[in-house]
Amino acid sequence: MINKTERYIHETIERDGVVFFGLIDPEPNNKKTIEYAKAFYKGGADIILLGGSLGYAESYILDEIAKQIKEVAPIPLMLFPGNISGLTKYADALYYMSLMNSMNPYWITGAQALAAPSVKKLKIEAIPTSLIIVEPGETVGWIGEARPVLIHKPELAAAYAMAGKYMGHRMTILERGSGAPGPSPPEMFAAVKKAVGHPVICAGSSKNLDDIRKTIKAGADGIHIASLIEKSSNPFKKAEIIIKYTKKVGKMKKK
Amino acid sequence: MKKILDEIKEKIEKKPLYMPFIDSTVYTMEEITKISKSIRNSEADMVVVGGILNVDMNYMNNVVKRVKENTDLPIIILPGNTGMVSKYADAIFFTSLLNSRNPYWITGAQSLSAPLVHYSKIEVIPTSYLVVEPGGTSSWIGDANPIPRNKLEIVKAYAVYSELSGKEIICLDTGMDHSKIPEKIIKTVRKSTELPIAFYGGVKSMKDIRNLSRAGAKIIITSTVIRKHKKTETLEQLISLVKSMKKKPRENNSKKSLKNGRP
Repeated sequence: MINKTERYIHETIERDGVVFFGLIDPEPNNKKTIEYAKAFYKGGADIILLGGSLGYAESYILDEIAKQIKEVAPIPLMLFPGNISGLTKYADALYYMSLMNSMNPYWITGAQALAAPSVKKLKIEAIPTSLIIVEPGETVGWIGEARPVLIHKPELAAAYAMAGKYMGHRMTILERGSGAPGPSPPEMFAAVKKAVGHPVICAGSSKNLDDIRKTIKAGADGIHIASLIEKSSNPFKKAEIIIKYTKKVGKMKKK
Repeated sequence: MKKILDEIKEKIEKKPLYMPFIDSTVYTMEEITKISKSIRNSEADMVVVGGILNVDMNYMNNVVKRVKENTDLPIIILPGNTGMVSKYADAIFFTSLLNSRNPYWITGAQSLSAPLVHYSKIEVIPTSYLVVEPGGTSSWIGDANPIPRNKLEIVKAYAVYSELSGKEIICLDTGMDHSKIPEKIIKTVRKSTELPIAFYGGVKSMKDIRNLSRAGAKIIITSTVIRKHKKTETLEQLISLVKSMKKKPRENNSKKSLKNGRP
């Protein structure tokens, strides 16, 4: 059943041609975490995404961070969980993800099943999502025991995306891992978008505005951005520039 | 768009659905013809075509066409592997064996066959497939970690997962040779989610069917009964099973509505 946050994502894509996620990695006692959330909000991000691939994402820490983010950024807060502990009731929604090309069932259905009763109890909106890891995979690929999709084989990503759709997923994320040399190639986004029709998201790895433009133009409906502003000396300015540009490209695509 | 699924949802409001299973990897074409004809004369609601082993798409097409020629019922595929897709079917239970130990049976085969399903243009019904203890052939082939019958929180977790991850049907499989219906498991699933429960697991007797529908199974898929009686009694056996099954829930329904003061 499609609920509030998911509808908001659809409406944003409908209106702007693209949805912008400001990705925050939860580090406790790090003022910067909250600063970045503020920068994304002021810059015009649609959604704040709270990650949690490594260690810090225990729920009591996430609760605290989520509350603080909500204070500075009154836009939907979504979770991009790294494991079963990455839940907080202060989030509006969560990517209920299956790592489609993992070699370990734990990361496809195991963790998801273990977390399911909590998700339902906390009443977090679950958005069924396929996560597809593309070469090189980096940390998330290593932890998730992925067999990363070959970078020059868009049809492999499309096959997994299509399977995900037929399994009931309503969004698809292509992820190369933090530290990868760039986002998945435009051909891959084009193939995946054509295969599924529903929102396709580029998770990170964009190095510059040009990467963002190519990705969106090829077929991505949304992007996650984190390190691009974290590396900047003025995250507020940088966030604004990136988001404005992203929206411009999205609107151009719509035409 | 979701014609078959809507039909299923609408019909199970009134009573459980009975779907005989025709295993494309076990029967000869003559036997398939014979079984299909007897199904036509029974009170079956839909026909499920599939198989534990694999066949290629050409063969699958022939089987489905043969079934279609001999019945008027909608045909749904319950695939055993990647080749079991046919454009002549009305829908496919796009299954994922959630408690497999091997990713091939959760997302691997699914990704390999997704393009075939796409081009076949049949309706796709996202389906959770769960193997419950002891599990039969599909458990062995699908490398399952069967769900224990007395650890209900495990099946609950998978049931809620199924709902949150966008599945439309939960199919429980205990294996064909096991005689006892896992009533507690079915009840737990029913309480955990509103998704319709399909049961596939060696339903042999009217008692089994009564127990199933009392526990909350909404779609009853039988294969054993056909296999056991494929030589002589198929038709008779099917009809008596179906009739016995349909009477019971109808009575329940009428009692319930009287209590609520509604017709």
